[in-house]
Amino acid sequence: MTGPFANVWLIVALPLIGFLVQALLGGKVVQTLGPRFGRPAMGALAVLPIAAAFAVGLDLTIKLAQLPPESRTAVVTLFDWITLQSVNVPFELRVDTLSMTMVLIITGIGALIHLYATGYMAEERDYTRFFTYLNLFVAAMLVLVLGNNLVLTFIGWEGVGLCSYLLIGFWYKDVANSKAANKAFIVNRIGDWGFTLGIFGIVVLMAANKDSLGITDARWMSFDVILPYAKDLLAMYPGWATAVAVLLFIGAMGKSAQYPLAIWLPDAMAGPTPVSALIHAATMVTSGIYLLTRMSEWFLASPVAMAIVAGVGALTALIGAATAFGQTDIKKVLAFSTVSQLGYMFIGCGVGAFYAGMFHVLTHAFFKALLFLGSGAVIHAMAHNQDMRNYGNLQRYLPITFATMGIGWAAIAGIPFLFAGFWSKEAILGPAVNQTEAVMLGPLSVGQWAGWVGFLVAAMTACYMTRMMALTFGSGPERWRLLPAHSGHDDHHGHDAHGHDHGHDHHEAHADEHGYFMTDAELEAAHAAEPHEHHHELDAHHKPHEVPVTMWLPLAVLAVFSLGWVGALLYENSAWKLKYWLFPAAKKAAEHAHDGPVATWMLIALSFATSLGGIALGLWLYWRRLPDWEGWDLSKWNPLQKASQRQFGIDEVLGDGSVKAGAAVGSVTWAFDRWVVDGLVNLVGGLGRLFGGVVRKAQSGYVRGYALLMEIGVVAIVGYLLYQIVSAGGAR
Amino acid sequence: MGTDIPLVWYLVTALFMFVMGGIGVVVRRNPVVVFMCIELMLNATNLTFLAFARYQIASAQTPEAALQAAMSGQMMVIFVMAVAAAEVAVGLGIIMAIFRLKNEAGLDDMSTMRG
Amino acid sequence: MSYQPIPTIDWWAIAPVSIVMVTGIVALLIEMFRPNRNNNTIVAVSLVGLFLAGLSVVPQFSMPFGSSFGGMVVRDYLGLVLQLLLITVCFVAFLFSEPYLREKRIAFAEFYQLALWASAGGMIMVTTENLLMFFLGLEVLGIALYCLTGMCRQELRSEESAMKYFLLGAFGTAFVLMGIAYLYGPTGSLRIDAVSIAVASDQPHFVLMALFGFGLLLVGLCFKSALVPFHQWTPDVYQGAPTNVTAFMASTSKIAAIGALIRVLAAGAPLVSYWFPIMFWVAILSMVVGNFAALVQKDVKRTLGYSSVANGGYMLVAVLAHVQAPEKVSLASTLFFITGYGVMTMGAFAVVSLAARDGKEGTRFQDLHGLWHRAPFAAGCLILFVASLIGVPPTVGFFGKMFIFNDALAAGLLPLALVLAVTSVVSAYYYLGIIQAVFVQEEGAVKNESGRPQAGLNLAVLLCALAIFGISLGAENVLKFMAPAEDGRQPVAERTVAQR
Repeated sequence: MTGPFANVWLIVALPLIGFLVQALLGGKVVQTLGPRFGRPAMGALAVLPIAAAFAVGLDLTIKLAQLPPESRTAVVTLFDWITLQSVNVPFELRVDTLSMTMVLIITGIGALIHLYATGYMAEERDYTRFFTYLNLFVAAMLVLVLGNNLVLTFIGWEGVGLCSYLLIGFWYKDVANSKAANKAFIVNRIGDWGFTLGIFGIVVLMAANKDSLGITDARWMSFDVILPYAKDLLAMYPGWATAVAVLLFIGAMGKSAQYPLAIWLPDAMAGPTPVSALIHAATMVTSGIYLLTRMSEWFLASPVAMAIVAGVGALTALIGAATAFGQTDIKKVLAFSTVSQLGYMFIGCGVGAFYAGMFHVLTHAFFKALLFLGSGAVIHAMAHNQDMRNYGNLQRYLPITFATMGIGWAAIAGIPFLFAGFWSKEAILGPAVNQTEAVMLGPLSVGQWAGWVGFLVAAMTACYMTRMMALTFGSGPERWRLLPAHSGHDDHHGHDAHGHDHGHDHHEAHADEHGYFMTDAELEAAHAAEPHEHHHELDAHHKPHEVPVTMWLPLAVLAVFSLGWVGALLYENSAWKLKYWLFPAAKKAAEHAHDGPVATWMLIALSFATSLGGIALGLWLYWRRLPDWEGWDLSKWNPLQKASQRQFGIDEVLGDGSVKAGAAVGSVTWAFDRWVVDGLVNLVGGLGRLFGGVVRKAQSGYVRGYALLMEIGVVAIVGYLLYQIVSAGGAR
Repeated sequence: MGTDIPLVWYLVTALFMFVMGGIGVVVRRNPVVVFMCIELMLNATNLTFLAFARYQIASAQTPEAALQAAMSGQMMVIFVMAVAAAEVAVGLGIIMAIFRLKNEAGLDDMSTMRG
Repeated sequence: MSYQPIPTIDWWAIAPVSIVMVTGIVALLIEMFRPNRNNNTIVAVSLVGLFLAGLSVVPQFSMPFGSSFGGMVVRDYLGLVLQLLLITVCFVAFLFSEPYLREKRIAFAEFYQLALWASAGGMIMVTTENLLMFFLGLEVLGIALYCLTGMCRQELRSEESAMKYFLLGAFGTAFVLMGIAYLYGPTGSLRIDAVSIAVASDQPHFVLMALFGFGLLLVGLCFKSALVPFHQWTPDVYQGAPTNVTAFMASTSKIAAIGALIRVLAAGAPLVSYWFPIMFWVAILSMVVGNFAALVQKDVKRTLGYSSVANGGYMLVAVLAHVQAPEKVSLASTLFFITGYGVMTMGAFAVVSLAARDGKEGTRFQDLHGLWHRAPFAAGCLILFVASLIGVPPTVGFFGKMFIFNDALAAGLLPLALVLAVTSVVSAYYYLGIIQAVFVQEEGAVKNESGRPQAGLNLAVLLCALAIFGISLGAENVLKFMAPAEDGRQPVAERTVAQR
């Protein structure tokens, strides 16, 4: 525990201390000081540890940057944890460029979002419970990125999953939220299943070949021992290695919401908005990309796995973007946009440009957190109504929110040069279409196709984000003022005017009319308002107010970091060079690099065309009005739009499974859970179920039957023994 | 042992009883009869023990060793009988309890728990 | 005619068993003289007796190991650890049984004495190298458990499971006895290592007989340990028995049977090449059948029953690894896993026993809905127990499985290690079903107003949770404790042979 990085443990310990303080003292302090003083005090105590961890992280990063590139890896062992004759799993943290980059993202953005949450959750009864979970989440996430062995990574992996589960279901009195939480939990189990098997695969490979590879270090579950031998292992067992890579990727798909495991993320928006920003946009969902980058040496050697990564990424980017068009809930638009952007990052990983994936993780963390927090400000101002059709002309009331969100929008839309999103998107799509880093899978270049899909998605992204901005802030009518007149037409969206007690009966009654049940986030809008002490309805007399300074200050900071200078500093050809920071070895290789078929100027022109074209289309369609084809009356929607709103049935097919879609829609949520339980069994394999069923048949309940099986067992065992000894020619 | 019946005959008889008991457990449906079949199996083991004990006496080199070896088997038989008696008490108690609840005690009706 | 000299009496070696036995008799006498429906004196006396028994085990760790009473009582690490564990399990079961028996309206009269005697039977099984004593321990445990299973006399299920358990148990006993007879026949000895005597005699038909007997003995032990294909009684009996009895049985019966199995398999080392493939397949079948059958269950107690079958398979893997390579693999990980299993199972069943109320009890998954709101502490701890059963790091279950996995690799049993890994991943799904049932409050589900937790139950759950935390944090030291330098590494069989 000496050396320049000895105090890395502080990074994990500080949020953990914060968690303990919140959990043990929180309720007491708020009780003694009263909500007026107690909550700000506890809020400050929640923000401070994260900010302090950020400071420590910054200090270590600066120290790291002063070292020569080749030696920028340090392992700090805190204590010996498991020591057996053949394996040693210490509690060790890894300080290297990748982990510190993630630490800075997590603690930096984490601190800002904590600050924001002190304002956003100010009227929440369970104020300290919220920060308890949030601090615990940050601690778990830091263990995930700092852990130097598979066991620690797995603990962090499960820890963030648990916190995510707790925070989605934060308003647990609301059934829909518990359901969303359960959905997230269960879908993530599928991912974890892959991840666990992947880890087991690595452990088995390492354990079986320890001697032949000459590994003497008993810490053979640690990254710094595994990774140098990755190439040898892959050469020895290409099939195994590919299987391990694919299994790890399944784990990443679960955490990072890739189709078909993406269905939990939109529902997860049922949680409080700061949670959506921190966990479901900036940090936890990017741990899949972190995992792939950490294990990049393993992936690079398996073209099949890489093609799968790129293909799934492209598919997810496309479906996510297409689905975002049909959403009317502002947080759902952002949720699908997150799914789509995560797809981008996987395209980057899948074509071998892991640094580009991480680059996008970084810029996306800023601008998506900004957009989520901005949407939170809008929701806050609009009495917790999340339907964009009830917004309009908010630029007049929320100028700061509008300006900051505008920057986030420009960043995600990829307006060239001036905003961060452009740079990281270029970093992904350039290598993808040029195949400069990709591994070819025979004649088929999945990576290249993924790159072209990426450009299409870029145009779509620009367009649907413009739609969101225009419907919210655009200079049309202030549509919430028309609400009472509309609520009669369509209960789906007028439900806020009805009060709160209608809940499920209500939507069950009208569910058939819509052909789909109310989304959980919409339910949240109705229910979540209850804990708020000074809540009022959204109606014609509502006047939106700009949010308090604790809420817009993080917006402003994030906006500054969403500008183009971040991207320009880190881009491949500029001074900072994230690529060589993360992968020092790439620098030597770069000297032999050759240009791909698509020249840089062509890529930039394409970017101009996609982003500006998308924006122009969006502005033309949505700035001044809410078009009829996505208005309150669902019957006027065009089929494509409707399909998009329903997520193209993906959620239904996956979520509803064998239950006949559309039938008994009111109880779909319930049926879903029932299906998930059975469905998981399906996933374990038809075999498992079949086998379990056979065993069940044999379990007839008859004593005679059981006795018979016992006798068969006896005859088999004794018969085998006697056969053995007789065939061995008597005794021995 | 001279003209005595050889050991194998005892063993075969005992095994025959044992197997018959085992078959009875599977084919009979009255719990009392099933339990009687199990008793038959226990008695088969008792016969085996006694036959072996006798054989030990015949084959031991010293009288002490013979005594010790034979006594082990014979003690075993006594314990088996004691335990079997205890089992009968418990078994009949359970059968009585079932009778009290539903007035019949066919074994095949006792299959509400399965799967 | 000369007699064997009367051996010196090692009072310490028989002290734990005797104390538990006598406590049972005292409890019976109290019940006789104060026939009170719910007599708390019995509970107090039983707990004190168990505590004393536990105390009498502890100093023996530092006494010289070896056998006394002509091999009928053995003092060694395996026996002491398992005795301590059996006493602890019984103690925890008593803690949470009191509120359960009240809710379920079952008289206290039978439970405490019978459970104490069952524990004593189990303790005899794990501390003897004499087949007669082993048989007696087995039957004391078994007969007490038959009565306990049928304790809830107004419930047909309880009686049905008692009947099944009784008939199949007696059936299994017949095989054990026949096995002992054929081990005794060629050797004239009731020692557990009769196999090695038979092999040493170098007579082919002796070896044949001993092998036949050994096979039948294994059958009986597999039955008690609920290993496939002798497992079928397990889910039915677990489901039908009163929940506190299920908890007690799941732990005690498994611990005692595996303890005895360790000794028997170690004693069978001279014939290992013959029986090893059998136990190898029994282990695989147990893990696979147990886990997959549990997937399709709708009753929590049945699920845990099949899970017990699977856990028996894991333990068998550890034992086989030890038998296969005794010089490399100690018994420590087996003991570690059994300890963890005992604690997790007791904890999980204690929480499930909360579903009882007013003489009724439902144990389907939906009967547990909403338990979270009524008993947040117990439900919270259930997460811990289930996480440990799944093997989520860093819980006991994880370490236990990892140690076994490691042992299996070290002993060159890669297939067993792989099956263990894959099936324990499968097990996550049904275990999660339990958590889900406790935490989801479904609309349309049965609203079961189950009992609120009482002090005894909370204490029991807390003890289990603390034990899990403690063992998890100190996994290293616990493992070292389980395998002291000389004794643990030495296979039981070698030592016994050396002493003859």
